Amino acid sequence: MHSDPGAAAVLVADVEEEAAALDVRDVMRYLPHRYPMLLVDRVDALVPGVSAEGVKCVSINEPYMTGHFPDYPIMPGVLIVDALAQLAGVMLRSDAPAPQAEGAASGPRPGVLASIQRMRFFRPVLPGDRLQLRVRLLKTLGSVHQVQAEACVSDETVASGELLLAS
Amino acid sequence: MEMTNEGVGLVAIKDGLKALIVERLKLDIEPQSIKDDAPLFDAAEGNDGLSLDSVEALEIVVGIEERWGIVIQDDSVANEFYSVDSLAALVDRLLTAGADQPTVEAVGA
Repeated sequence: MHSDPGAAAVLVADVEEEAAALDVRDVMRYLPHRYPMLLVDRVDALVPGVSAEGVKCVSINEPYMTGHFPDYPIMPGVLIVDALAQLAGVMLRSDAPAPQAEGAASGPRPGVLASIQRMRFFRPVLPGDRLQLRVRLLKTLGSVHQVQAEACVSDETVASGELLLAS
Repeated sequence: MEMTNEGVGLVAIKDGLKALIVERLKLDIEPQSIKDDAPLFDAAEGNDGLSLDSVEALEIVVGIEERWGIVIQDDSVANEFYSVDSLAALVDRLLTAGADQPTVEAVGA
Protein backbone atom coordinates (compact mmCIF):
# COMPACT_ATOMS: atom_id res chain seq x y z
CA MET A 1 0.00 0.00 0.00
CA HIS A 2 2.76 2.40 0.91
CA SER A 3 4.49 3.55 -2.20
CA ASP A 4 7.30 4.93 -0.09
CA PRO A 5 8.09 2.54 2.74
CA GLY A 6 11.49 4.17 3.21
CA ALA A 7 10.05 7.53 4.16
CA ALA A 8 7.50 5.84 6.40
CA ALA A 9 10.29 4.05 8.20
CA VAL A 10 12.06 7.35 8.82
CA LEU A 11 9.00 8.71 10.56
CA VAL A 12 8.23 5.74 12.76
CA ALA A 13 11.58 3.99 12.99
CA ASP A 14 12.14 5.05 16.58
CA VAL A 15 8.65 4.02 17.64
CA GLU A 16 7.97 0.59 19.00
CA GLU A 17 4.21 0.91 19.14
CA GLU A 18 2.05 -0.48 16.38
CA ALA A 19 0.76 2.22 14.02
CA ALA A 20 -3.03 2.31 13.60
CA ALA A 21 -5.10 2.97 10.47
CA LEU A 22 -8.28 5.07 10.39
CA ASP A 23 -10.95 5.29 7.71
CA VAL A 24 -12.73 8.57 7.13
CA ARG A 25 -15.46 7.79 9.67
CA ASP A 26 -12.79 7.35 12.32
CA VAL A 27 -11.11 10.55 11.15
CA MET A 28 -14.39 12.41 11.65
CA ARG A 29 -14.52 11.20 15.23
CA TYR A 30 -11.32 13.11 15.88
CA LEU A 31 -11.92 16.17 13.70
CA PRO A 32 -14.91 18.53 13.64
CA HIS A 33 -14.17 19.47 10.00
CA ARG A 34 -16.80 18.56 7.40
CA TYR A 35 -17.39 19.21 3.70
CA PRO A 36 -15.82 21.10 2.08
CA MET A 37 -13.10 21.50 4.70
CA LEU A 38 -12.36 17.94 5.77
CA LEU A 39 -9.00 17.49 4.06
CA VAL A 40 -7.93 14.07 5.34
CA ASP A 41 -9.51 11.13 3.51
CA ARG A 42 -7.75 8.38 5.39
CA VAL A 43 -5.03 7.80 7.97
CA ASP A 44 -2.67 4.94 7.17
CA ALA A 45 -0.29 5.01 10.10
CA LEU A 46 -1.18 6.72 13.34
CA VAL A 47 1.00 6.67 16.41
CA PRO A 48 -0.94 8.86 18.85
CA GLY A 49 1.05 11.83 20.06
CA VAL A 50 4.07 10.87 17.96
CA SER A 51 3.44 10.77 14.21
CA ALA A 52 0.84 10.16 11.52
CA GLU A 53 0.61 9.46 7.82
CA GLY A 54 -2.51 10.12 5.83
CA VAL A 55 -3.96 10.62 2.39
CA LYS A 56 -5.92 13.38 0.69
CA CYS A 57 -7.08 12.60 -2.84
CA VAL A 58 -7.47 15.75 -4.91
CA SER A 59 -10.27 15.93 -7.49
CA ILE A 60 -11.41 18.40 -10.13
CA ASN A 61 -14.69 18.37 -8.20
CA GLU A 62 -13.14 20.19 -5.23
CA PRO A 63 -15.26 23.34 -4.83
CA TYR A 64 -12.24 25.65 -4.95
CA MET A 65 -11.14 24.34 -8.34
CA THR A 66 -13.90 26.45 -9.94
CA GLY A 67 -12.08 29.64 -9.14
CA HIS A 68 -8.52 28.51 -8.35
CA PHE A 69 -8.04 28.81 -11.23
CA PRO A 70 -10.62 28.61 -14.04
CA ASP A 71 -7.93 27.95 -16.65
CA TYR A 72 -5.44 26.21 -14.37
CA PRO A 73 -7.01 24.21 -11.52
CA ILE A 74 -4.54 23.68 -8.65
CA MET A 75 -5.01 23.02 -4.93
CA PRO A 76 -4.38 26.22 -2.92
CA GLY A 77 -1.18 25.96 -0.88
CA VAL A 78 -2.95 27.07 2.28
CA LEU A 79 -5.27 24.09 1.96
CA ILE A 80 -2.27 21.76 1.72
CA VAL A 81 -1.14 23.34 4.97
CA ASP A 82 -4.57 22.83 6.49
CA ALA A 83 -4.63 19.19 5.39
CA LEU A 84 -1.33 18.74 7.25
CA ALA A 85 -2.68 20.64 10.26
CA GLN A 86 -5.78 18.42 10.30
CA LEU A 87 -3.65 15.29 10.25
CA ALA A 88 -1.59 16.78 13.08
CA GLY A 89 -4.89 17.36 14.88
CA VAL A 90 -5.71 13.66 14.58
CA MET A 91 -2.24 12.80 15.87
CA LEU A 92 -2.64 15.10 18.87
CA ARG A 93 -6.27 14.35 19.68
CA SER A 94 -5.81 10.59 19.45
CA ASP A 95 -3.33 10.94 22.29
CA ALA A 96 -6.06 12.42 24.49
CA PRO A 97 -8.86 10.45 26.18
CA ALA A 98 -11.15 8.54 23.80
CA PRO A 99 -13.26 10.81 21.57
CA GLN A 100 -17.03 10.91 21.69
CA ALA A 101 -18.85 8.81 19.09
CA GLU A 102 -20.80 11.89 18.02
CA GLY A 103 -19.86 15.56 17.82
CA ALA A 104 -16.10 15.64 17.99
CA ALA A 105 -16.38 19.41 18.23
CA SER A 106 -17.73 19.06 21.75
CA GLY A 107 -14.41 17.62 22.90
CA PRO A 108 -11.15 19.48 23.24
CA ARG A 109 -10.23 21.80 20.39
CA PRO A 110 -8.64 20.10 17.40
CA GLY A 111 -5.27 21.80 17.66
CA VAL A 112 -5.82 25.10 15.94
CA LEU A 113 -2.99 26.60 13.94
CA ALA A 114 -0.87 29.03 15.91
CA SER A 115 2.03 29.47 13.50
CA ILE A 116 3.21 28.31 10.06
CA GLN A 117 6.99 28.19 9.82
CA ARG A 118 9.46 27.54 7.03
CA MET A 119 6.69 26.23 4.81
CA ARG A 120 7.78 25.78 1.23
CA PHE A 121 5.83 24.67 -1.80
CA PHE A 122 7.81 22.84 -4.43
CA ARG A 123 5.31 22.13 -7.19
CA PRO A 124 1.59 22.59 -7.88
CA VAL A 125 -0.93 19.97 -6.75
CA LEU A 126 -3.33 19.07 -9.56
CA PRO A 127 -6.62 17.20 -9.92
CA GLY A 128 -5.84 13.47 -9.80
CA ASP A 129 -2.95 13.90 -7.37
CA ARG A 130 -2.90 11.74 -4.27
CA LEU A 131 -1.45 13.82 -1.45
CA GLN A 132 0.57 11.76 0.99
CA LEU A 133 0.58 13.67 4.27
CA ARG A 134 3.13 13.08 7.01
CA VAL A 135 3.39 14.78 10.38
CA ARG A 136 5.65 14.21 13.35
CA LEU A 137 5.53 15.85 16.77
CA LEU A 138 8.80 17.63 17.48
CA LYS A 139 8.05 19.28 20.79
CA THR A 140 5.28 20.15 23.18
CA LEU A 141 5.42 23.09 25.53
CA GLY A 142 2.36 23.48 27.67
CA SER A 143 -0.53 23.73 25.21
CA VAL A 144 1.61 24.46 22.13
CA HIS A 145 2.80 21.69 19.85
CA GLN A 146 5.56 21.97 17.26
CA VAL A 147 5.02 19.64 14.30
CA GLN A 148 7.19 18.73 11.33
CA ALA A 149 4.92 18.41 8.28
CA GLU A 150 5.42 17.19 4.74
CA ALA A 151 3.16 16.53 1.77
CA CYS A 152 4.23 14.35 -1.16
CA VAL A 153 2.76 13.30 -4.49
CA SER A 154 4.24 10.13 -5.99
CA ASP A 155 7.01 10.33 -3.38
CA GLU A 156 7.99 13.78 -4.54
CA THR A 157 7.77 16.47 -1.86
CA VAL A 158 5.27 19.15 -2.84
CA ALA A 159 5.27 21.05 0.47
CA SER A 160 7.14 20.89 3.76
CA GLY A 161 7.61 22.99 6.87
CA GLU A 162 6.73 23.27 10.51
CA LEU A 163 3.44 24.01 12.19
CA LEU A 164 2.66 25.20 15.68
CA LEU A 165 -0.71 24.03 16.95
CA ALA A 166 -2.40 25.15 20.14
CA SER A 167 -4.74 22.91 22.08
CA MET B 1 27.41 32.79 44.29
CA GLU B 2 31.10 32.29 43.64
CA MET B 3 33.35 34.33 41.42
CA THR B 4 34.47 31.49 39.19
CA ASN B 5 34.14 30.55 35.57
CA GLU B 6 30.56 29.58 36.28
CA GLY B 7 29.72 33.17 37.10
CA VAL B 8 31.22 34.37 33.83
CA GLY B 9 29.31 31.63 32.01
CA LEU B 10 26.02 32.79 33.47
CA VAL B 11 26.59 36.34 32.30
CA ALA B 12 27.35 35.10 28.79
CA ILE B 13 24.26 32.90 28.86
CA LYS B 14 22.08 35.81 29.94
CA ASP B 15 23.43 38.00 27.16
CA GLY B 16 22.89 35.18 24.70
CA LEU B 17 19.34 34.67 25.94
CA LYS B 18 18.45 38.33 25.56
CA ALA B 19 19.86 38.44 22.04
CA LEU B 20 18.04 35.23 21.19
CA ILE B 21 14.71 36.48 22.54
CA VAL B 22 14.90 39.76 20.63
CA GLU B 23 16.09 38.10 17.43
CA ARG B 24 13.70 35.14 17.31
CA LEU B 25 10.64 37.09 18.38
CA LYS B 26 11.59 40.09 16.22
CA LEU B 27 11.08 42.43 19.17
CA ASP B 28 11.68 46.09 18.54
CA ILE B 29 13.83 46.60 21.62
CA GLU B 30 17.49 46.46 22.54
CA PRO B 31 18.56 43.11 24.07
CA GLN B 32 20.24 44.86 27.00
CA SER B 33 16.99 46.63 27.84
CA ILE B 34 15.59 43.30 29.10
CA LYS B 35 16.16 43.16 32.84
CA ASP B 36 17.56 39.96 34.29
CA ASP B 37 14.79 39.57 36.83
CA ALA B 38 11.85 40.98 34.88
CA PRO B 39 8.98 38.52 34.23
CA LEU B 40 8.97 37.37 30.62
CA PHE B 41 5.30 36.50 30.49
CA ASP B 42 3.35 38.27 33.22
CA ALA B 43 3.81 41.91 32.56
CA ALA B 44 2.30 44.22 35.12
CA GLU B 45 2.56 47.89 35.93
CA GLY B 46 6.12 48.66 36.97
CA ASN B 47 7.76 45.23 36.59
CA ASP B 48 9.14 45.79 33.07
CA GLY B 49 7.77 42.42 31.89
CA LEU B 50 7.61 41.47 28.23
CA SER B 51 4.13 39.88 28.07
CA LEU B 52 5.25 36.99 25.89
CA ASP B 53 2.69 34.31 24.98
CA SER B 54 2.83 30.51 24.83
CA VAL B 55 3.82 30.37 21.16
CA GLU B 56 6.69 32.76 21.85
CA ALA B 57 7.72 30.59 24.79
CA LEU B 58 8.08 27.64 22.45
CA GLU B 59 10.07 29.79 20.04
CA ILE B 60 12.46 30.59 22.87
CA VAL B 61 12.77 26.95 23.89
CA VAL B 62 13.55 25.88 20.33
CA GLY B 63 16.06 28.72 20.03
CA ILE B 64 17.78 27.72 23.27
CA GLU B 65 17.96 24.08 22.19
CA GLU B 66 19.47 25.01 18.83
CA ARG B 67 21.96 27.45 20.27
CA TRP B 68 23.24 25.44 23.21
CA GLY B 69 22.53 21.91 22.00
CA ILE B 70 20.46 20.95 25.03
CA VAL B 71 16.99 19.48 25.45
CA ILE B 72 14.43 21.26 27.61
CA GLN B 73 11.70 19.01 28.96
CA ASP B 74 8.13 20.23 29.08
CA ASP B 75 7.90 19.80 32.85
CA SER B 76 10.93 21.93 33.60
CA VAL B 77 9.40 24.92 31.91
CA ALA B 78 6.65 25.95 34.29
CA ASN B 79 8.99 26.88 37.14
CA GLU B 80 12.01 28.07 35.22
CA PHE B 81 10.46 30.14 32.49
CA TYR B 82 10.00 33.16 34.65
CA SER B 83 12.83 35.53 33.86
CA VAL B 84 16.19 35.74 32.09
CA ASP B 85 17.73 34.92 35.46
CA SER B 86 15.78 31.69 35.91
CA LEU B 87 16.19 30.69 32.26
CA ALA B 88 19.96 31.21 32.45
CA ALA B 89 20.11 29.00 35.54
CA LEU B 90 18.21 26.29 33.65
CA VAL B 91 20.54 26.50 30.64
CA ASP B 92 23.60 26.49 32.89
CA ARG B 93 22.35 23.44 34.77
CA LEU B 94 21.54 21.51 31.57
CA LEU B 95 24.92 22.38 30.07
CA THR B 96 26.67 21.14 33.21
CA ALA B 97 24.56 17.96 33.29
CA GLY B 98 25.25 17.38 29.60
CA ALA B 99 28.99 17.65 30.14
CA ASP B 100 28.94 15.22 33.06
CA GLN B 101 27.10 12.29 31.56
CA PRO B 102 26.54 10.65 28.17
CA THR B 103 23.42 11.58 26.28
CA VAL B 104 20.25 9.51 26.47
CA GLU B 105 20.75 8.46 22.86
CA ALA B 106 24.22 7.14 23.65
CA VAL B 107 22.92 5.16 26.60
CA GLY B 108 20.05 3.67 24.61
CA ALA B 109 22.21 2.65 21.65
